[in-house]
Amino acid sequence: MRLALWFARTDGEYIKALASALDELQVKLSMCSRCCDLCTGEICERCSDARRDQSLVCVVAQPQDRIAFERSGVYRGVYHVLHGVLDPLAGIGPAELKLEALLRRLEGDVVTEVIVATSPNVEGDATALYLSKLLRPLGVKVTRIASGVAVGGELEYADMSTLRRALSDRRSL
Amino acid sequence: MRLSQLELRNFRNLREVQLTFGPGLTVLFGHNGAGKTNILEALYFTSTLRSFRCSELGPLVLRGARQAAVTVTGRDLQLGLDSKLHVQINRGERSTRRLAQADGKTVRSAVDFYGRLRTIVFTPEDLTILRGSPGDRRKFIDRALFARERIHISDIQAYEKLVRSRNHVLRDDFGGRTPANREQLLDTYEQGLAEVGARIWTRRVDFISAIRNGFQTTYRQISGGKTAAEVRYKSGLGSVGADQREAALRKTLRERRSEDFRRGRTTTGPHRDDLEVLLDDQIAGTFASQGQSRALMLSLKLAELQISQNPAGQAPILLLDDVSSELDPQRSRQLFEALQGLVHQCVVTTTAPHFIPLPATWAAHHFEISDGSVRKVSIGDNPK
Repeated sequence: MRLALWFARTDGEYIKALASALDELQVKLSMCSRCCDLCTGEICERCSDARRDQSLVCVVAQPQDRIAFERSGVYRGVYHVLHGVLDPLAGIGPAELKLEALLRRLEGDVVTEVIVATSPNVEGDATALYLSKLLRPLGVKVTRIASGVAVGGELEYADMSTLRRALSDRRSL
Repeated sequence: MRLSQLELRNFRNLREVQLTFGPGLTVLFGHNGAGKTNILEALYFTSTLRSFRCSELGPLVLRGARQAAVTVTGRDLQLGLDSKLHVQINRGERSTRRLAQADGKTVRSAVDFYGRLRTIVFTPEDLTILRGSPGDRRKFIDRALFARERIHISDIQAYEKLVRSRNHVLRDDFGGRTPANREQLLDTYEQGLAEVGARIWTRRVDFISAIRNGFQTTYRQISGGKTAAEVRYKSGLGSVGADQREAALRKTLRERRSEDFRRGRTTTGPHRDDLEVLLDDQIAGTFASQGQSRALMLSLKLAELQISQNPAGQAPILLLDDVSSELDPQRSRQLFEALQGLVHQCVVTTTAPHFIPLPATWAAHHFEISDGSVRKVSIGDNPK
């Protein structure tokens, strides 16, 4: 309702532009046939970018997770978007995730490492574990992003689960 | 925290009440329904943000009022500072919400607020722990552990979610579809269950072995020492060494898969374990008399209290609801003798002050509660 009232108060040109943009969204937006990310063509910009390392695949749950990685600018590989995490309580099993497309990508010898970048919670951890069981037999290296104390944060304010994870996932210097 | 003052506004039947506390014993006496237990409930609520009597917040607000407030002032002995805890309960149209503040700052997470004021409560309903289901007994251990190690809460929550997830996979509960890789999915959840479950299992076993001595000693003191009491953690997997528990859980979950599949649920793990309380080698829940059960429960709680002293030597405040009515005078006297050495502050409710035997060396303050108001009385002036 708040949205409708705002539309009613806003200038007509703007509303028209917005309406056609929303219309285009429906028509033009599709899913990349390789990484299942949202895009406007057959293959997304990242999958068709020759400068990117196509042997490194970062698996994320949602397009917004991919956007977060891109914004950071630190990753030069490609992605795979699952569009969800395993959550039997919500009726989401492996069939509901974009796993077949991921397995297809691993058929060739291009991909050497899969980085599982799901959130460090019960569902994200289960998804990561499941992926490692599924992918390891295929001879591909499966890794999990690190979790622990936030960079730039204060150790004293970190919660206990985070500290535990930071300790158990410590690495030698 | 050492308790020095409690202020209540519109809490249950208490419209506007203020009590001051000293070291030793505080006796709240009054007729049934006068509001004695409400004061214990307010202290417990400030400690845990929940009631020991009901699961909703609504009943805590005086009928007809929109807001209740509890303010506890005390001294944090570890920091050497005075501290003020304030909790408001606001009755809204749809739901009742609480707002907790510590020293003027809002504390949003219940986990962060939990245990600033530490209390251990004993009420007549606690007998369900001995006589009720294994779940009631597990809850007793887990609550005690929450107060000591807050990380236990997140482990319990994660574990419960993993159990439910595995059960859904067992029942193929994916909206009619069967996942192709069910065995791999089960592997996944079992690995998580074993990891978190082993941590829960170990914490519980360690807790029971930590309280065992204190429990037996206290029970001997209260009962006068004719029967032997015992307490032990009973795991479905039997006795397993701490470093073997994760592997043992995983192995058993794996072996039980077809059985669990038939039943549609997970039949092994810490969510099925039990706490056994025995009296002369018999299960107390079915064997012990009312008075013996009372004494056993008190001994469990006092043993918990003994190991809950923090580095500054502060034990939690003991809240005893109507304890003397359930024990004979002799046991009651032995209980309060035992308390002297264990507890710094204890608040008890009773219908008449003479039910509470006052140990010679303990300071005692008396308050009479009637119809929602509180009056401090000196028991020397007002013999009952």
